[in-house]
Amino acid sequence: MTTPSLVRRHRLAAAIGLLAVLAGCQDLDVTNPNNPDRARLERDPQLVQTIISSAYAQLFDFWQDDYPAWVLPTMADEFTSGFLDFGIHDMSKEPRLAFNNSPTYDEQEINRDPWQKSNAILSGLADAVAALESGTIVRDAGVDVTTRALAFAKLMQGITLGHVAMVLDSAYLIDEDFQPLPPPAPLPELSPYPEVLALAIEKLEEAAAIADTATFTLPGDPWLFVTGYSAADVAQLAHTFAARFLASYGRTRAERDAAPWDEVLFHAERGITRDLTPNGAPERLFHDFRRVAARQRTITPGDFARLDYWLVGPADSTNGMISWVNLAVDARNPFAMRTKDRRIQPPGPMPTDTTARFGKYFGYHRATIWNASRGFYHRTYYFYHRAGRGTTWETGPQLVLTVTEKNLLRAEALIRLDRADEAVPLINLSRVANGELDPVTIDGPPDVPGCVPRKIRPGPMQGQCGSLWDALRYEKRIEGAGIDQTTAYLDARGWQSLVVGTPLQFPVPALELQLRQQPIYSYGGVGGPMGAPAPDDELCPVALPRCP
Amino acid sequence: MTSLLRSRFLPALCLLVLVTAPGAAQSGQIAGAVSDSSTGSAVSGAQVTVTGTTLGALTNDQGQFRIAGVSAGTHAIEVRRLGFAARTIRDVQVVAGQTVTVDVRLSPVAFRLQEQVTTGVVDPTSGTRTPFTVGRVTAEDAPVPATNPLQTIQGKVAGAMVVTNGQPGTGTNIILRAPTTITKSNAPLVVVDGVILSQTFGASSADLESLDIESVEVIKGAAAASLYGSRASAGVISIRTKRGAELRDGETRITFRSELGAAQLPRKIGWSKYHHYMLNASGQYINAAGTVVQRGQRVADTAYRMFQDNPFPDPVYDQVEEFFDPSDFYTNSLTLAQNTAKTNFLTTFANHKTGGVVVGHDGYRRNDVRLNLDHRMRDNLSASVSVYHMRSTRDDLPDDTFFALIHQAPDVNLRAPDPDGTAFAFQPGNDPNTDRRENPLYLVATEQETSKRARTLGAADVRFSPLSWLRLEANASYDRSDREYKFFLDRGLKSEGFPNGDPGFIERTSGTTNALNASASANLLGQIGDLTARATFRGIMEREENDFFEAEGNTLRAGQVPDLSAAQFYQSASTFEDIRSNAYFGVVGLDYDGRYIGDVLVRRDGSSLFGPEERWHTYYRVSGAWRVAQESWWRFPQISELKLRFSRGTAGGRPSFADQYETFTFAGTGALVKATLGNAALKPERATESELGIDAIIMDRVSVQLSHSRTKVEDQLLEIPLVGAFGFTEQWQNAGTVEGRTWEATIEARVFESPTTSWKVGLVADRSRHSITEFNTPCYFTSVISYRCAGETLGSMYGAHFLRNPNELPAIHAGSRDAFEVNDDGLLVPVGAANNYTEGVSKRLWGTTVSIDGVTYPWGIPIRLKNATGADSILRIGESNPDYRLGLSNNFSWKGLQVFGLLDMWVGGNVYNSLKQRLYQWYRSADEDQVGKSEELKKPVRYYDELYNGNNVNDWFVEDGGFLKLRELSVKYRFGAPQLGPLARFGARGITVGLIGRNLFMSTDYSGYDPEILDEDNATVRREGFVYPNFRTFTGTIEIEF
Repeated sequence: MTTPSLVRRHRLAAAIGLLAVLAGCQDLDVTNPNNPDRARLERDPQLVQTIISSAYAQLFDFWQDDYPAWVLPTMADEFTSGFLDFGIHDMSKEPRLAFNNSPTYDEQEINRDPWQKSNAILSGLADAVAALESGTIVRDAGVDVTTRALAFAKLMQGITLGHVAMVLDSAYLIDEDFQPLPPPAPLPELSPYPEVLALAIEKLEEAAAIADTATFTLPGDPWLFVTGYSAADVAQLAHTFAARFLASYGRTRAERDAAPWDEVLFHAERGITRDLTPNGAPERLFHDFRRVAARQRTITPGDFARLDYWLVGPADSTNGMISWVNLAVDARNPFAMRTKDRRIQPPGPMPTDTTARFGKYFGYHRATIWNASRGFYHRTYYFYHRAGRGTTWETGPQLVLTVTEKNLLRAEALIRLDRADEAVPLINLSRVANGELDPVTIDGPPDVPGCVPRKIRPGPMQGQCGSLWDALRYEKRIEGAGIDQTTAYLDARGWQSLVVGTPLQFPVPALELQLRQQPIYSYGGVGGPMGAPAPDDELCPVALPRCP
Repeated sequence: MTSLLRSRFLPALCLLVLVTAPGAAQSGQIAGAVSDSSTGSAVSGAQVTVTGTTLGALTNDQGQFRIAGVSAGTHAIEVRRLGFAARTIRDVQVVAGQTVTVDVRLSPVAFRLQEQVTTGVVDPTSGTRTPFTVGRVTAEDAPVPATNPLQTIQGKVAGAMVVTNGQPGTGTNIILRAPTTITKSNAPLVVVDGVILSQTFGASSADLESLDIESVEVIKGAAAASLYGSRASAGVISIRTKRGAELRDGETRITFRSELGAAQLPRKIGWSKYHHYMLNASGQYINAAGTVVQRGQRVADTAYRMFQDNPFPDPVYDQVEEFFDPSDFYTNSLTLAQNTAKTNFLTTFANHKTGGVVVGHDGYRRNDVRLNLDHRMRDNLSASVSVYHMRSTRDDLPDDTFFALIHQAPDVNLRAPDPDGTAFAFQPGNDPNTDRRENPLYLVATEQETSKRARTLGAADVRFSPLSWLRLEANASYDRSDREYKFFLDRGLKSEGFPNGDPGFIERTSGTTNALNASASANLLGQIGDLTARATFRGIMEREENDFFEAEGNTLRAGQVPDLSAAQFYQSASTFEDIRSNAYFGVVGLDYDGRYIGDVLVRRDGSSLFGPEERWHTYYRVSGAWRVAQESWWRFPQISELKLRFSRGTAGGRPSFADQYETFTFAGTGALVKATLGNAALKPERATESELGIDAIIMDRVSVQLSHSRTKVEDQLLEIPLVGAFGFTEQWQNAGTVEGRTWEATIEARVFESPTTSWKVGLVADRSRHSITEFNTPCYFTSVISYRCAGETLGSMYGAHFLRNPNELPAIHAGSRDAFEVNDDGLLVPVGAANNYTEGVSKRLWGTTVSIDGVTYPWGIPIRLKNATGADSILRIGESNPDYRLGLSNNFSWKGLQVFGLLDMWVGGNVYNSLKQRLYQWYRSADEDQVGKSEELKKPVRYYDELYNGNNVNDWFVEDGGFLKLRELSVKYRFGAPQLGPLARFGARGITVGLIGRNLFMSTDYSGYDPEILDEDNATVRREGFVYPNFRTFTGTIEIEF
């Protein structure tokens, strides 16, 4: 071989070698620094705690904030609106429609959000609890706080499962014992809501049991966004939710009647002794319900959603509400009320002008909001300001669970357990203090002009003063409005006060059904499956004076 | 595979090299002159090379060249010059110690088909010799500089669909041929002077300067794009910028160009002018009792005649006229270029502004500077450097601007001043019922929102030919993009929900992308007789880092302090991505006597975007062409070029950075939630394309390119929804196949040519079809309009259907069809057996119900098809893809006059008019005005409410999206030096003045702003929402050359 050819070969080899080195010199293993993965979660107790401590913030996002937080109060005629956002118009339209469980429905988040987000929370909590139960020790400033984490995790599992059991017909029983295998393994079965409820109560009772034997204080943020919340408070919270879920899971009056009211009473008696008021701030615990209920886009307050007359109307001492009820739905125009309930109206004559007036919780402004074509019956002069006006709703303590609700749960249990006399003082607590109304007796409110509430349903007793049962229901609705977005709906279906045809629960979301290759189905509509029967809410569960 | 390459391919290359390497010999010279065959004039700056050697020279001003040191023997020389067809002279006999003279006459390139192609091939190759189609647009074809450089190919390259967003300073959506991916970007890879552009995180093609463009080449699919591996399944667009090489040897040229004019909205949408509220005889608002009331307390007319036919008592405004306003548009540039024997360079500075068309909107401004330099250090060593830097500022519009606009009532004055001193009122109306949205002009005036971008592109190439048959090249390129976004809403200004003063909000984001690519290659050349073989082996390294940070704060402690520290509450987030790729490829190209052409390419590609088991993948291309007209037996001199070509190749599509990782995500309030279930087994989307085509030149007057391509893209990357049991809502999986086929035609005709006059016509046409052919996951609907399932296209629209025929009625009405009628809108409506649809007023039926077979219907109101659950049936209601598209360009010149026009036409295809649907919500559409209709045909607002359908997609808003546009028009006249008078004394060589129009005219049946639109979230669906409409510009230009 000649020298030049050797040189050529060497140069060529060098060139090719250079290329090979160039292309191979870069390591293709890179890390993702942006988010922790599951492997890291298993190694890092702090991340385990973060999943647990942030669960409530996630829950808040959909049970208080938008989907389905908005639609439930309008389905229950607690709030009303002529807007389509959040599905509120579709679901409060009269005559009621079946829930649109189409995968293309513009508001499909109504059941998709609680489905997906609850599952995400439960799945994360399941990983976290599994880690704790397999020996992960969580420390805070060197102190073992594993028990605190476990108690709170169980509490959050219970609350999450409980909410799912309240509104969806079935769900996955996701907890630390739930181990779904990826495809091609068969998909896990869906469990009907009573089984979901049972698991929720089990978790809440576990949480209470752990907290009852422990001593700890929850850090303020995130956890429950309150400071100084003790183990005892956690136990009380678990009992309160257990009481609410056990009382409210029933889709029908019969099912509510059949609820374990002794257990409700048991839990309620161990319930909270102070309101739960997470501390809100802009961009933290964002509460769209309150934002749009409280906002003033124009000079008119409450221009997005207002209070339904079915909520405040029983307090009307004029015949405005009676007339409104007796009209055909499309003929129902807004009217001004006169009431002694200071939560609705300040002292003074019935307003007739356009000046806004403010009761303790609600206000009056004579403006007709929303297009007529969306239904006159949505129009009302009453707006909500209990959570604040302008921007005040988003900062400071946000009332999301009240001692009043617990008291009224106790009162309902007592009435149903034939201990109505014990319920009377519980009902009067808020009625007198907040509403500045005369106290009720076992006969109901004093039979005087302007009694609150009055019977408003058409029939022989229309216009008469209500019963103790009516007073309980009125009190719970007035005190609960805008506090928790589920309770009005949950109570209304069991009290049989929903507008006929209102869906009594939500189906599994269409997307999930498609993925499971199951037919899409739905509920509600007049005469449709799981559509509410005609309202008959003045009928008492036990014999009481003034009950039909 | 790497070992395979090393064990088999390299020895083969070595063998090829050894066989073809020329032997040593004594030398002689080749000299001669190069001239233009059409004019006979000398051609300077032509590159003359001795084939198979590194020997070569440039012609001087007289067109002369001399090459010394040529070994004795028979050689071929190749002569290349921009604008001329390359020519090879064979059988040049060099005798030792002597000079052989060769004079070469170059033919001006008559057609784009003949021009040199540089994209997708190893060496620059004449288009007549490439075995696949490459779309090509040169500066000559683009006398109307595009506002975004990628728009340069719009209507000029068959198979290229370019859709722009009207917002100044934003990018474009481009799909070459048919879509290749269901969920990832269908945008092609963009390469500028060898720099692969990053287009992630807001790095935009709008950052480039159209005036710099020398040529744009488009390779449309995997059959040609395999060279670019796993990023090229959607094709490649390669932009080459001007370098001064076209100047004569020793020439220096300074060019100043200025373009100035205005931008304006070319087309309005129909806006209502009437209302449906009660009026008295004096035209005052009244309530049901007849009492005069204020506007805020007005009430709707009675149900049976709730028509939008009442005139406003107040002045009525055309809100489109009020909101849109022409503004300035300009570009100024200064260019210095020079070409010498060893060095050519071009440097340019440009300054651009597109003011946009919205009142108070400042639009987009950009300054950029470029330096391109080529230097030939030795005969066998040369280097090139390209550097580009630009800075831009874009005035962003508040998110809700166009949505807020459609709420505005016709009787409110958007341009009335606000009491707070702002030029426009916050809420000029005062009706809680309808005046709900803020005046968008107030938002534009008060919300300070800007995006600033800086982009630096740099590329350096070194070419070294140590041996006559070997050329080594190294390339390094760099792309840096800096993005900064600022939003500031001062405390005290009004905003949604805060009519008495917002607490203030401030947001800052910062994004940086650094992309560094490097490659080194060995190019080998050999000849055996008429067979020319070229082989290249290249190693490539690519790296991209994306760094992003955002922070926002609200509730400002003080006004007029756009500082995050002034905020009481904060949120922040950041991400970092590191993407790395290594690749090798080898390609061998064979050319036998210019008649039989073949090409084989193999690329091995590794990327960090895949898990360890799927990191490396192999792509290939095999292509061949037969130039039939070069055969000795060819007997049709009228057809001077006829090439049959076939190419088949593969290319890939990559996942995003996060797709392989199974992570928990930190959401707001610090929550840690399960997000996407990771998938380390992801593979690239694998496109396989076969392209068959014919290229021909007929009578030296017409060139024709016909192509048919079939593409199959397997292993689609899909974000598959997961059942709720897993906690994660989605997972990226390879789970589908998309297939497409495209017919393309490109015709270029020299209609008329004389020494003073020429007229060229270009026609491009294409027809693309595609569908999902496999979908290995349960079918599902995306967002609100698309359906993903086998057999579906990516442009299909799904939604509710309004009945139009009694045959569509449910079975329950089989015996009651006479109770329904098709009205004058073509919609089936329930009227009852005793009525007809025109009796709504006369019988006071509007606002009532009618019971038919036990089903209660609102009288006269359209009906949607329902499913068994009572919900709307969801059907296929439209298809975005046009049936075919045409682009027709005319380029006429007479002496100094040049006229260019481009017509672009899309035939067929639908647009979903979401904008109109929302107009229906607030009774703002002109459709809803009933003035001019007879009482029998008037429809109440409730009728339109039903069509609005709660903003759910339905077929009432599906419209024909066909259009014809005069997309570009340019009229220029060049005054030569003799006509310049005194200016010539200052060195001016010529002045060109002209007029330019963009989007001057459109003909369409579509009722929105522009049917040339894509959905913001789904770039394969045509859906008009609330986006900045496209606008026209009309400008004057002046260009002075020194």
